[in-house]
This record gives sequence, structure tokens and C-alpha cells, in this order.
Amino acid sequence: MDMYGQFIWTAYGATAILLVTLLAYSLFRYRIAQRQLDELVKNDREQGKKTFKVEKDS
Amino acid sequence: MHKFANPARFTKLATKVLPWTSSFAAVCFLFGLYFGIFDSPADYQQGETVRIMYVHVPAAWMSLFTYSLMAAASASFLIWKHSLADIAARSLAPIGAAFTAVTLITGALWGQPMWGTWWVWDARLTSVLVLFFLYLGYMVLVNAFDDPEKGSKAAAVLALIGFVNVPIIKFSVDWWNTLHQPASLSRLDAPAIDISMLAPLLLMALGFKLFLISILIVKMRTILIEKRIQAKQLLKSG
Repeated sequence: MDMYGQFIWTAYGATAILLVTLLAYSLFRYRIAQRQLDELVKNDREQGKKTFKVEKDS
Repeated sequence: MHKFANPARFTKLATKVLPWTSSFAAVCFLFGLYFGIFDSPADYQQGETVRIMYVHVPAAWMSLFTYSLMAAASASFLIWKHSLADIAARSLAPIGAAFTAVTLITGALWGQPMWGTWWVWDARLTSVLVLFFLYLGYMVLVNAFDDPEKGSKAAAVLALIGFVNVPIIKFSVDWWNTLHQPASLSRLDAPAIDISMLAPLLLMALGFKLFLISILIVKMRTILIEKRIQAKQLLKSG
């Protein structure tokens, strides 16, 4: 690289930072949403079991 | 096309496609970066700074391509009321904004050593800046209403109106006298670029496109899950 090396590395660095941030943020939001949904489904299932048991006992 | 507007069918297809697009994107970036930084020759006029083109040009192509997709999805949402089209448009906006930001930053970093200035208000640079603001405007507008349906409609209209800017960006270098150089690749005759430089450029462009598809899938799936959570919570509270 010649005297313009700093411009080249800054360009590649800025691109990497922006794209990696976009990727990390998207994956982070996906993980959180998926975890929330899993918890809701699990709670629903447990609630369903309890209701079924109460209905059966009565 | 309408067949894939079903969220369940989309999720099934996306689960199959995502590992392939993300792995191929990584491979294209790896080879593109290697050839672009270490293997391709310096330009006889631009010198080593030509290497900035291997990220600047694909990012610029993708910023236009992403906006075109967003406008198509918005049109589909307004005409056929496909909720998946709205989800696609919402997901595309931040990706397009990131690509446009990369275009503007890398363009400035190339402009300083080559033109002696970070920025000029010429037609190409200004219209790309307008594109960046259109993406930001879409993201603000889509979340500006209490009723998400209203936000989607308003943002879709903005996306369609803003599409006028896409041909302006493309042909600005032909229509006006700009400091920005005219197209080197998408010319009707042979591309004005040597194969040793064309190969890393196309590899990086493919990498950017596959990256776009991968992030789009992840973002769309996230919104679909969030909608399911909202529906479940509404059911519980009701």
C-alpha cells in the first residue's frame, strides 16, 4: 500500500463495522424474539395442562 | 409470487435458504477481500485507492437494488395488502440505509485523495444523500403511528414516491456534468475494466447481495415472531 493506505483501511474498517453491527443487531433481536415466543408457548402449554387437570378432577 | 406471501410457507423456505446464502456470502467476502486487497493490481490513474472501489461500488449497487425491492414490496402491499410484503419493506429499509451509509463513507474516503475533497454537491453524490434520507424517512414514518397499518401505508407511499430518485441516481452522471465518473461496468459496449479488477468487484457484489438476502430473512423472521408474540399476548389479555 502507498501513502493512501490509511484511506483504504478506514474504508474497509468502516464497511466492516457497519455491516457487522447490522448483522449482530439483527441476530440479537431475532434471539430475543425467539426466546420470548418459546417462553410464551411453554407457559401456554403448562397452563393448558393445569386447566385440563382441573376439568378432569371436577 | 403470491404463493410465497404465506408466512408459514415463507418461514419454511427461509429456514432452508438461510444457511446457504450466509455461507456463500462469507465465502464471496473472503475471496473478494483477498483478491481486492492483496491480489489485484493498482490502477494506472487511481493507484492503490482503487481498492476502495471493491466495497464502494457493490455497496452503491446494493443501495439502489435494496430501494427497488423496497418500492416493489411497498407497491405489492398497497395493491394486494400482503402483510408479508409490508414486513419485507420494513426489513429492507435499515439494510438499504446501511448500504447507502457505506457508499457515502467509502465515497468520501476515495474522494479526498483523488479529488482533493471529501464532498461536492454534484448530482450523483447529492442524489445518493437523498436516497439515504429516504431510507431514514421510511424508518421514521413506518413507526410514527399508533396504528401500525397506517404507518405501513404512509411509508409505502413514501417508498413509491422516492423511487423516482433511483433512475436519477443511475443516470445523473449522463444527464448532468458531474465530478463523479460515468458508469464503467453497466455500459452497452464491453465494460471498461480489466478482468483482474472485475473479478474481485463481482465477487464482492455477489457477497453483498447474499448478505442482503441473509439479513432480510433474519429480519423478516424476527418481525413474524414479534407479530405472533403480540397476537398471543392480545389473546391472553382479551
